[in-house]
Amino acid sequence: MQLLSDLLQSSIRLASPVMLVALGETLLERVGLLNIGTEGTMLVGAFVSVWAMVTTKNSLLAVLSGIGAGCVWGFLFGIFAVLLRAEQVIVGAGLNFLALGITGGLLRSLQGRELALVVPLLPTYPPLDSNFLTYCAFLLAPLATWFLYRLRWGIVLRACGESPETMVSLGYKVRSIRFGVTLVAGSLMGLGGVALALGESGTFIEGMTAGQGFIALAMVVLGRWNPFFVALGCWGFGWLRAIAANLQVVLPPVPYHLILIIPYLGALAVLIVAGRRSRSPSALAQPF
Amino acid sequence: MILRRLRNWAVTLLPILVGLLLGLFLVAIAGSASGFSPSSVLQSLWEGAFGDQFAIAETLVRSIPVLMTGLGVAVCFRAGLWNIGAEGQLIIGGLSATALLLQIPMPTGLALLSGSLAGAVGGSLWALPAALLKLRSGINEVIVTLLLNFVAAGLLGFLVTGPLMEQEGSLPQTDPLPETARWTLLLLPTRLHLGLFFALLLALVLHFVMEKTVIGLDWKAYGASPESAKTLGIREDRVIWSAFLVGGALAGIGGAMEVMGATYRLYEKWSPGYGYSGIVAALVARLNAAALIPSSLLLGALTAGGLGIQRTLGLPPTLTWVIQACLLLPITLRLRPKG
Repeated sequence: MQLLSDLLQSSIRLASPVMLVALGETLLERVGLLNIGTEGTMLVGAFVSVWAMVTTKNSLLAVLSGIGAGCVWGFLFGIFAVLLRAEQVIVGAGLNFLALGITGGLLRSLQGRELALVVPLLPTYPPLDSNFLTYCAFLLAPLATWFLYRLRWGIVLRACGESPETMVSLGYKVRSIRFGVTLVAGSLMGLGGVALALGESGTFIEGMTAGQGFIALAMVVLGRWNPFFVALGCWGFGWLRAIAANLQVVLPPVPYHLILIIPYLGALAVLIVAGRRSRSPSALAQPF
Repeated sequence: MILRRLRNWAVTLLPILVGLLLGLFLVAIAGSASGFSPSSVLQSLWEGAFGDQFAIAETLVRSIPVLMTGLGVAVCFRAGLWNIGAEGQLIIGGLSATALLLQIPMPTGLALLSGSLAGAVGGSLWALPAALLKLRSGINEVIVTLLLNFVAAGLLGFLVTGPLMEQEGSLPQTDPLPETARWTLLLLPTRLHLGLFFALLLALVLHFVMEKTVIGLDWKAYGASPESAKTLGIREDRVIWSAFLVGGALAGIGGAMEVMGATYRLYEKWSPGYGYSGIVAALVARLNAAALIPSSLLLGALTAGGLGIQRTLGLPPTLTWVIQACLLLPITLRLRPKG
């Protein structure tokens, strides 16, 4: 029983970074944009929040600057993908490379002579013993579904991803709407990075996201572009990570590296099962 | 006529030049944030890539896997298939070749041939799920290939600490390949090896295949517009299968060549991201196999230069990804997706 409640708690904690990123990506894909720069956006969010935490010692400022960094990456994506109509997959890849290089390169100047940067974790609150970013993630999911399916603006947003031409003829500024969503989505992804750095590990390590941004991409497909189900998928991923982490304690003979690949194999497996019947937004990754 | 040709060259080279300069500028700034003068950063980058005989050889050696993964990426991108998985395909190619060559002793020629073949098969196998899932379930190949990169890296880590770990000693690495399974060194004492010419030959063959053969044309047509290609009677499944299998095989051969020519053994984090540099190289070359030769040389120089700044200044080689990103982003503007 103790193990189960431990697992429940760590699943919630481990799920929240991916969940925030996946929610951002869901909104983005709903307006017809595919950004594989999730990994890099997370990375800059994590890096800048740790940087701000070290320099200002103020957790609110740290969280806000992480969001800001994510927003900047969203802005860059918007410039290339929306304004200049470039190929979205390649822009996303480029933004990942840029984030990896900049955060890895600046880490040294931030670290000075220290071996590792340790910053305090965000405070946790009952009943789930989680920080407020985790609560944010779990509250945002149903809210986003409600927004997308029940509110007028949500429906407009989805329509931009299904048939942008129609929306233009109805008088909507599709490209402005899309650009706006890239900023919101970038901020959410940056927040995911903050949740990873300040909520989970309390430090920044080069390439610390280790593919979680890409797991978020898979979760969007798994949840069929519905934020609520995407978040459920991310929670499932949190369970997988929690179980994998405990497996290492319970069954030491299982090699460390094999445990590391469980989440990726798991994401692939659910894609194979769930991807079959899914339908992406019609205008996804089409330039407009 | 000449003017137009000059203009074409300028249009091709300008974004590359702008990206390169911007990248170097950003790296110099990042270096000065760590307390080094911009000129010392640029100088050690240059010396790492071209400073002496060793540096030039290192640039050449490191451009080989970039060229091979770049060719694989170019084939898939030509067909409009976003294969981001060259990194994983390279790792599995290296693993297959190493596993085979450590198990079965072979004479030199046979060893090089079968090692390369094993790499090709391994790389193809690693690209196969992307093709299968795209055709069967319509799952985006980007996600599948990305996730498989992480699975491949984990598998490499597991094998070099477990089943393939060296017999004597306790480092997380494989035993070295036997002498017979290594490419001949060309310029002792540097690491430059004969595999370079094999890679160049493959690039020229690929250039011929992509520009002059039916399958090359099919890839191009499908990439330009899947719908019209299908109307013309080009079979979608054949395009997708062939592009992924050939692309995976090329990256896999690259992995085999890296282990048989340069490192002789595998260890954790064995590839410093050759597969991702291959993407940059392929796009800088505008998916042209012959143009990939100079562009992978550029990326190889950046990789070698990154090690230079690590050696002399202690800056992380990851910093060169800033330059690679700056090379990539301006090119996206010329690359408009089909719509």
